[in-house]
Amino acid sequence: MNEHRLVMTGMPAAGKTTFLAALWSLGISPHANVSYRTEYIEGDVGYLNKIGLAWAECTELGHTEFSRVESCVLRLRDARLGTSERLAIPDLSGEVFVHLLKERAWDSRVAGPLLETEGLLLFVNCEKVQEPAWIFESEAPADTPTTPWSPELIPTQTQLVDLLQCICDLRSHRETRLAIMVSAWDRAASIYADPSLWMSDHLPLLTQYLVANSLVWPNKAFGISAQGGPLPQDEARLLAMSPDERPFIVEGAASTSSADVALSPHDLGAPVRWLVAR
Amino acid sequence: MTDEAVATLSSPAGYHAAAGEALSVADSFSITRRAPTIVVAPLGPQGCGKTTLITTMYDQFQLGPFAGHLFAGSESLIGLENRSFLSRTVSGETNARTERTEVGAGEQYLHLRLQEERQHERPRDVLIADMSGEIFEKLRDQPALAAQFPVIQAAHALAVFVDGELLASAKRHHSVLYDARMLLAAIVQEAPPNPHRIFQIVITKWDVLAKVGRAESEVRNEVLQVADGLLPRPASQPDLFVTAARPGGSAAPWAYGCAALLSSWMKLDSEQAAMDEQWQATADRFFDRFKAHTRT
Ligand SMILES: Nc1nc2c(ncn2[C@@H]2O[C@H](COP(=O)(O)OP(=O)(O)OP(=O)(O)O)[C@@H](O)[C@H]2O)c(=O)[nH]1
Ligand SMILES: Nc1nc2c(ncn2[C@@H]2O[C@H](COP(=O)(O)OP(=O)(O)OP(=O)(O)O)[C@@H](O)[C@H]2O)c(=O)[nH]1
Ligand SMILES: [Mg+2]
Ligand SMILES: [Mg+2]
Repeated sequence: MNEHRLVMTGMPAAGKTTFLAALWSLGISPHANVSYRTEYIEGDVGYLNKIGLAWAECTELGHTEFSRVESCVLRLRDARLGTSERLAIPDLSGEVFVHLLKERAWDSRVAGPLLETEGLLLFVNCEKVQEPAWIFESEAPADTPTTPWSPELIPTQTQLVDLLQCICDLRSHRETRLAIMVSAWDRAASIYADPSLWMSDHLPLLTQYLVANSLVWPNKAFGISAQGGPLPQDEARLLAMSPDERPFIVEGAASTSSADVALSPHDLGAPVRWLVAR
Repeated sequence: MTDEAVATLSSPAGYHAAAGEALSVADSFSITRRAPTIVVAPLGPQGCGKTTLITTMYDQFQLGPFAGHLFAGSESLIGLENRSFLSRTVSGETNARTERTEVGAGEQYLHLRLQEERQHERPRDVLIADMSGEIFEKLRDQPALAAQFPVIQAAHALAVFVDGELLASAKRHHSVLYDARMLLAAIVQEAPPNPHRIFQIVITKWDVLAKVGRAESEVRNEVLQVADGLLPRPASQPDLFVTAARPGGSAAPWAYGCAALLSSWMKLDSEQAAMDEQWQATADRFFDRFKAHTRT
């Protein structure tokens, strides 16, 4: 059995829990054409089942509480190689990373997994990006109250560069594979064929940082739609579909090699496969 | 976030992350020891536009590569964001402005790590001093104080800023040029001679001059005279840059002249400077002085 450890990072509402719910459910499903199928149920999987059932019902998953670190273990069979894999992947609250941004201190429950991890998934919800916007004389916004500075107000791309820099320091600049998970991809897919292009348009600072630091962060972008569409708007349409066919994934170029890894358009295991590939 | 949750986090087992604020001289050693680092010092009185120019350069990277370089990181990311805040719409301000740099903050640096866009060379570090204009007003008046500021000893580029808004004012026009000449004279006198150091003059807020119809070539010639007879050979004339980091109105484009200035800094040969014995001696002295200072 191969042991793997991965960590999902990203600000609140970035799509971490929804992805994990879909990954788990697809693994349990009898017919899904995905990289990883559940082989054995280890320990208490109550949390995974809870989020998996909500996902199947097209119920939006609530915000993961700050005080909880759900340590999830998935025992999987690699559909292509036939090997047994054990994946430890905690579900962290995005608040953990807001805390880091503001307090400049690592929660020790998070620093541990980050020190041990084999690779990182960095989630960003393509609908929830705070882009930088400047005041120009001609377009002064009328009567908005002035707001004191707070790190939460800084643009998403800067928050993510800061997060990666902090993780890089924590891990003493060790080379770490990084999957950029652009979630809610159903909202961008009609405009962008490639998540890397979406990134360079909407997160140019992060894109430059990754190009310049591809030795420390070998990276690949994925467009991920774990729900298959916006909820609750698309609930009826999605419920009419087989859950296996709702999610979809689009692969972007990798800084290392460009071979695609997904077995099917629904294979949410592809980023995991890319992260653990040797 | 509940209070209890916060309490469990501040456990002694926690790891600290870098503050990401502007760097003190001591903080900057973690960068300068790792690789030859370009050190730049914008110099000039209060309100002449030093901080705005630095943050505007950073802001341009928010939009994409700038001055032929990619943004490769910064150890003062939070400090840069903080300084840029009052020019962002989220601040709720109606006119973009910059908070004055506090004199009490002393010598501090903003950091950029930049990589040339076309070549795949290693990224290079640039430290740009962000100091209150009050400090330079004191230096102008008492040049010997320069000994207390490592940046004056060790910077690869010393750039005297001349406030374009004051140049456009009938009353202040002459005094601002005198002021710049006095500061430059003091700095040239106190900075140890070094072949790798350059002196620059930067005209800021060009938009204000453009609005009153001043021609760029004429203003350049006038301002260049500030350095007449002051600079050591071989650089008998400083490089002069005309900028409008954050123009009000449309008299100049946003970040006008900033790419040229940043490029000039990135061309500085910090590696050659680092290998130069004389330079090393200067840098060592500044390290030693710092150590002596912290011991007391
Ligand atoms: N359109 C669309 N929205 C999605 C998709 N996946 C997640 N979302 C939305 O993204 C939001 C956040 O999803 P979560 O999975 O809870 O995000 P999280 O990163 O776990 O958030 P925290 O637990 O707060 O850290 C929800 O409002 C979801 O509806 C998707 O595939 N498509
Ligand atoms: N019109 C115009 N105004 C500018 C420009 N650049 C800066 N300013 C304004 O000049 C003011 C002072 O700029 P700062 O950058 O704070 O000046 P400073 O040299 O750092 O000042 P101290 O920190 O006090 O030493 C700010 O409020 C800016 O809005 C410009 O290009 N055009
Ligand atoms: Mg969650
Ligand atoms: Mg200032």
